[in-house]
Amino acid sequence: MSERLYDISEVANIQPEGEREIELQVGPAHPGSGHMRLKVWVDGDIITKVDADIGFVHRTSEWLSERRQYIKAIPIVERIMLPDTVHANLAYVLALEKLLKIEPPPRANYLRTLAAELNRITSHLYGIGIFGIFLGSSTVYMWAFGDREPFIDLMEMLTGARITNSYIIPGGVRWDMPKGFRERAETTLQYMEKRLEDYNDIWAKNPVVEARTVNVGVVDKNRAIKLGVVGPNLRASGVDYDTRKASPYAAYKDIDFDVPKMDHGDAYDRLLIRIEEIRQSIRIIRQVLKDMPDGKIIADSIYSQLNPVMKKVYETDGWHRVMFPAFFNQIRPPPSESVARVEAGRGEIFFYLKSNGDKYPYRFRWVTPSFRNLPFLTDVAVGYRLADLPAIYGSVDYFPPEADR
Amino acid sequence: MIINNENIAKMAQVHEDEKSGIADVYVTDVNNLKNVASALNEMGFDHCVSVTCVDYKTKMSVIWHVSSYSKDEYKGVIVQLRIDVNVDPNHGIWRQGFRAPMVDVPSLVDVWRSAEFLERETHEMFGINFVGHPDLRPILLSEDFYGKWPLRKDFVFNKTEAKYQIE
Repeated sequence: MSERLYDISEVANIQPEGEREIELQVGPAHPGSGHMRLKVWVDGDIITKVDADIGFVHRTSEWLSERRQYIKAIPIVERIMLPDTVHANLAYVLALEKLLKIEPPPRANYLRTLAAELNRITSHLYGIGIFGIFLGSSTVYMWAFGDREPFIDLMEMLTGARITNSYIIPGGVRWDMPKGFRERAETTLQYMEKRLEDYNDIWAKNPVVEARTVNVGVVDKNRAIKLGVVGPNLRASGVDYDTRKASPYAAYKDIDFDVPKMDHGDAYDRLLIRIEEIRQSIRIIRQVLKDMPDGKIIADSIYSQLNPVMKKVYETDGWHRVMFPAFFNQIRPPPSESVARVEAGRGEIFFYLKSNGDKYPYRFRWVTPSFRNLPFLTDVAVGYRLADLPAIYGSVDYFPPEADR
Repeated sequence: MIINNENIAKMAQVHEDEKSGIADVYVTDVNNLKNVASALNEMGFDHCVSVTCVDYKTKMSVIWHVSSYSKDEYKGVIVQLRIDVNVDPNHGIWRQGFRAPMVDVPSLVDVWRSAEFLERETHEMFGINFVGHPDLRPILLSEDFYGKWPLRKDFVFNKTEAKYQIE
């Protein structure tokens, strides 16, 4: 028996009289979904204060975008929000189109909605999977990441790339919907509807999950508004707000869908609302596929500037494809400013662009949903036990690279 | 008119653009900024979407974008609360190691709690000293990059500065 190196009672005595709090470091070595650190102060095992230390994956996207042509910012914003690429792309292009005063044709709007909703499903499945691993349920993690795959395959069929699509360009989209897409999408949606029942059985109605999430991390309506929470987390607290309804973009004006909301605002509600939103996305995709109008996929003002070879490629086989025109490099919007908001999977993306008539944006500002959900992590965990922290962190669906930009 | 408020009209210039969806509220006097923000908050603009700054070299334009969760009629509106501050080399805090002096602007965290992290980010990127902010530590940048104000227009990226320094 080796001798004990230190006396436990001595260590306990290091704490001076009256000071009961201990500081703990959670992270930054990948506590679950990424690179951020939570400094947590505990009294016993009750959390008294949380400080979020972020910025480990800051990629200076604003600095980079202000030193490039407008069109080259699309890959930059996409790579910041990897589970949500279409929404980042769409939000930026909407802001740019407002500067350029271009209106996309209706078919392009429908294709944008289709891509966005497919992306929302993959984003929510990603969130559900990460939440599963936080609560120690590897089954849900494997299921969610496996079920994400058919949707990513659909995205590949529609846009040509699995994750970083760069599908949406000023004035429209790059590719039309390929032949056979409708049938394949319908098969995938039917499969997902069946799987959602399975998720309910093994995940949402699981007594272990209920025990760990019900009444944990409760945020009521007024507090959620005050903290400026966004996305599904806001709606789980009972606030009826969705950017798709509040300021409709793409084709959402013509589509009939519900915005699910919960009342209680605990981690369990934030879990359920993501499953509900997948159901609504399936409903939207069915409508989009049914009502998709015919016509051009790019605005006339862009189409008329394409050269004869590009116009020939556009019409080949009755399936439209826009060859990326070189004049996109020379975009010089008139001096003005514009804002754009898009409801992404995790919440609202905000863009503010300022042009002074030059090739490069004078000011390129964007705020991502995870950054706006930060007060959630620092304020809401206070008062709960340390063992509840993974459930709270997981339910927020926080994605560090997205917050750090 | 979306913003139809006598108090705000007295203290600020309101300009609304329906096409871009921006309601621009331009405050000329720094002392009025907090009152205008409180009036907007009472109207129902209850959360802050973004805080940012535009560097015009001789002046800084600090912008709070606010919107509403609770009032249906304001949900689609973005209010752009704007104030211009002159950049004066003799004004503000100038410490050793800082490339340029800070610019003083009142913080609106008291009015909108959701602006806390957004103001912190604008502080480290532009050197705006938000007077009254509870916590202005750097948030996205590392400590050894603090004071360089990288998003200002006169910032020049120096490779030797970017190397990791042990001291």
